[in-house]
Amino acid sequence: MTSLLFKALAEGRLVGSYCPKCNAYYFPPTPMCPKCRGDAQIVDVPKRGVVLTYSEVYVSNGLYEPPYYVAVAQFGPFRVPGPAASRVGIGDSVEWRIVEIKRPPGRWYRFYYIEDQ
Amino acid sequence: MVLAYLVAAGMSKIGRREETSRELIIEAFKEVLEVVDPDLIEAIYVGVQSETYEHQIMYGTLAAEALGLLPKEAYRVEACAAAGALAFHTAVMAVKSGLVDVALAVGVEKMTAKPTEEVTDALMAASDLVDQLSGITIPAHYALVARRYMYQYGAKEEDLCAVAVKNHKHALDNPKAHFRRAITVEECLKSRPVATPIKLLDSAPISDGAAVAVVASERAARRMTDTPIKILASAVATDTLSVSQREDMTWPFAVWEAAGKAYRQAGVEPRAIQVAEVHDAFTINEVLMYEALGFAERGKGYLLAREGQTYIGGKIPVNPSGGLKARGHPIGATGLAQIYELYLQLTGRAGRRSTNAEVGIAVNEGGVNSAAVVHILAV
Repeated sequence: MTSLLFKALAEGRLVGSYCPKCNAYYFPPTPMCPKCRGDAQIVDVPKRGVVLTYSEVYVSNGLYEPPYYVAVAQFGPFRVPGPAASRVGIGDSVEWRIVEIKRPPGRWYRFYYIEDQ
Repeated sequence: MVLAYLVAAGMSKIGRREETSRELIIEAFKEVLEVVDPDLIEAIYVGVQSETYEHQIMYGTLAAEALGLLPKEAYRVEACAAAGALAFHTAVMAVKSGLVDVALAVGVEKMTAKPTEEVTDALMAASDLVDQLSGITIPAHYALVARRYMYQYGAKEEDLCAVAVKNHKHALDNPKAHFRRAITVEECLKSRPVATPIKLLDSAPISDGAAVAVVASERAARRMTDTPIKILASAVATDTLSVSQREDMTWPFAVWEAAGKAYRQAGVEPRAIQVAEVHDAFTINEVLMYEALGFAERGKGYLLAREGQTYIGGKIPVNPSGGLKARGHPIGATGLAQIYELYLQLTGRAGRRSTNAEVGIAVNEGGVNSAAVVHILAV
């Protein structure tokens, strides 16, 4: 499942899955729709999203240097959990960007706050 | 319907302990020897979260060896913090199936010897890989839920702290609790952040401890005690590993599902429950439990805490033991620590924290309400 995500990240894409039969979307991407168990398609996650919830993390497992920010954001039909580059609030607009990281899988994504137009 | 019975339960003192898991299990087990002839035990099921803490697996064999029960059937079950209740569920299944007459459920965890960062990492293994790589620790998961809950329903940080204040007060009368110290809402609000809005005093501690319970068929139970506790329901349900993939991040679907199954198995309504031990790993979760168990309407659980209705003597006493928050949270032991408290409550052994209850519910969950185990017990 997540290897589909890793492959896409290596290509600079953030992807999820879409099941044409169920009209359902999944993140992270999965090869099989859990509803109908049919083949799911890989589709790109829209670039812009809205923050649904967030937290500033002070106690880490060593992966990130605290304090750091995490959020869940809605990008079109996908709901994506991830690290945020700065403090964000519920309802804020964000975009995802691919960033290099010093540990496997080498690339990850991060949410960046963007001013509403 | 064939029932299984709880005939005895035991628990070590919970806290920062010098002892190994092996010794903690023995400490908890000694308490059941007053009631149970150990030679009658035919199978042992052990709930443990992680091999990381002691670099140990094979806890089934370890327990059988430590308790003088070799070469009996013994193995480990695991669903992170739900492992203890899952061990109890497995014992109930074994007895109800007729495969064994007497089964021992054991829960244990020895956590405090490791630094907080390593414990945080071990617990994070309960998350989806994407959440792990995103740095979303287990407290951060509950924080994401808490922030969304506060946004949707208007609950305040004070309302969450009210749960911690209650559970610390209850633990004052529990000699085996990790913390026996009253706290105030102000102290809780001022305690250092773990993952905002969750603070240190919203969080269960890292603890060491063990708990055990003996489950028996009716025939075997009658030979051991005149007052066996009926296990009216034992139900398990699951939900997504990542809270982000739930339709409503604030709704603990697996708990609601398992509770619904348990109420149907037991043939009782939520209002029949007179005492509850619920999984308050973080204060927000006790609030969610009130809702999923039918003690409060959806989105209104925080009012129960705010109004003090869940104190001993209140409308529905919740966590008379002090809960995970103050009794302590040795992960694998927690589900059986809850069963132990119900055993004390239902057999009139709870002393100053007695609720005089005849019907009780225990709710243990793992991940972030990703696996839920619900038991209903009655005299």
